[in-house]
Amino acid sequence: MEILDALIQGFSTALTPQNLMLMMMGCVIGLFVGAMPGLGSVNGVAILLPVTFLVPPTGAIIFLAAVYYGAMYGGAISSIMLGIPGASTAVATVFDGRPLAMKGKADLALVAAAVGSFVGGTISVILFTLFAPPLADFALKFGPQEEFALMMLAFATFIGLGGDDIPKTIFSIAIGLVFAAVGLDEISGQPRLIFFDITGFYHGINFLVLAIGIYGIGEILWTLETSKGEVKVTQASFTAKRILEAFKQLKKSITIMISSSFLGYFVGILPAAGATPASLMAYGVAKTMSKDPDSFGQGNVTGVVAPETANNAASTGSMLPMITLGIPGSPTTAILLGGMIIWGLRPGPLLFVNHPEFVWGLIGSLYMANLFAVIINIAFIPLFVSVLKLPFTILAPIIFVLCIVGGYAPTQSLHDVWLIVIFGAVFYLLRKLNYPVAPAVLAIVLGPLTERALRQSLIAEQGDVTTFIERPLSATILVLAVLFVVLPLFKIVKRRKKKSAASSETQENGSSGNQ
Amino acid sequence: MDRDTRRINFITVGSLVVLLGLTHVIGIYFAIFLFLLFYLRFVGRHSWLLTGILSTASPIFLFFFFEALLKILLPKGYSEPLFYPLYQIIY
Repeated sequence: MEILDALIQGFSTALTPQNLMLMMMGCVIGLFVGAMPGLGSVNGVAILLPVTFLVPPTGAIIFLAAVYYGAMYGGAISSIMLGIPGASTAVATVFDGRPLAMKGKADLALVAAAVGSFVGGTISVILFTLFAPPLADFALKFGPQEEFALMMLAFATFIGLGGDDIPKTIFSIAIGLVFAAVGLDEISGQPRLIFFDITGFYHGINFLVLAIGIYGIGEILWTLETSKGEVKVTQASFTAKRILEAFKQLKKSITIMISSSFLGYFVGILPAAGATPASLMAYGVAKTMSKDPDSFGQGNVTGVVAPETANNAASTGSMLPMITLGIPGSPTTAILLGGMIIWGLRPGPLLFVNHPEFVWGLIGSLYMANLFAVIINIAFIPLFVSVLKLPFTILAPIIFVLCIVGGYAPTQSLHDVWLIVIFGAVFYLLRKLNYPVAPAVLAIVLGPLTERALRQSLIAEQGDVTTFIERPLSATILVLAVLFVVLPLFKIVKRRKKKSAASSETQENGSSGNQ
Repeated sequence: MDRDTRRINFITVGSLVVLLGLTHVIGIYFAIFLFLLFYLRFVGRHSWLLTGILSTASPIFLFFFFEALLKILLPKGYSEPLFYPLYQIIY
């Protein structure tokens, strides 16, 4: 098989000492960058791009891809340990990762994230190897209508997540959408919702601001309340025995891992949808498909595995359109694309023909980067866990400082940092009133994408709304979305009927017992 | 929300607001230094030694990580001139 030949050649390219070293450095740097709140794979890749001019293009992209990967692994660390998403791709990991850490099972969560990421990455690289050209064709069929339908699907999975509190979830989503609308209108350029004419709002409310505010400041305030500001040491121990136990527990999640990898990979392939929507959707799907949906959000391991698998799978997937079509699959790959052009490589089908050692070297290195990253991750877990052992009154101000500085870093504006503090306080109050916060974050991430897709489709069809149903792909996805909203509602109604039947039965039994 | 929680949350949010306000004026490094000093000592009741070490180490670490390594400039307010010699060294 010529693919196998090319792959072996790719491995031999990837295994040269220089490329190996680049890959290892990239993984470690990516891990660290991803773990810091406020810095994500985009930042890491963007900042390190100039460094890569010193090495040949193959080595350069191996390095940057390793950074990308490392950041996917690293994002989970901050999410689980600090409750602050290390990058937008790791938001869904906070939902179950943080409660697990609070229960003293931080090592389980970290191992789950690492293994999930590894499985996701490996499966997606295999898919990449085998299916690159046909999938590129498929991705081309996705127009704005399909993109909109996909976003609707993501929202639908989250409404299903609302459980009994569906009105509050919808309110939360609505608030998130309002915040997403602040700034300049994408298509007409008109300013929208500029509160009090403060100029800082013109560039909109950055997602990271909201995330760091809610999960950073809000989370600390919450923990301060539950621990009453006293010294609180989260019980966290780490031995080889616990790692093995963790592996055993993970065996239950294997189906979720595989399905999340496929989901993540396909979402990643779609241009403009990257690891972030993929991880959020995987979380939603995992919760909807699970037998125990109520345990999600309280520390269900599957809730950590699903998004982590999906975001690693999606990062590989998003490299596919970049290499085969020249269309970036996610913001980070947009920067990688820029790098490729600077190095003189033209992405497209010809890349496979003219520069096979580049493409296959990259693919080979992805396998190795995966392996390397998971080993490092698991090896460093004791270090990460020991951070949690610090008394909270030391951790809290350090986290605050990290939030403030990390919030300043992406947009270099103090105005955003003020917003972080304000949002933190406001969402903490909302949380006290039992409003789910996660849907708001989802809305602010996907809101701009959804709106753009909607308006693009309507403009293209001159306002004809039936286009969503006429195109077969978008119709299918929309039907799926409706199903995802309706199914949980059925479940709730069934459960309520059962409960009232059971309580009336016990009333009868009780009264007959009394006689 | 009981009194204790309200008190500590007010103090926390208040100190964050003061931190940001100070950043505008004297720059982020000194603001962080003062914030850590206040929080670690007066709220956390840790020893002066620990407070001192963390309060001085953090801004230094942040400076080298963000400015020297990542070349992201952090706001320095009126204390900017103090940093000129450091800029000479790293650039």
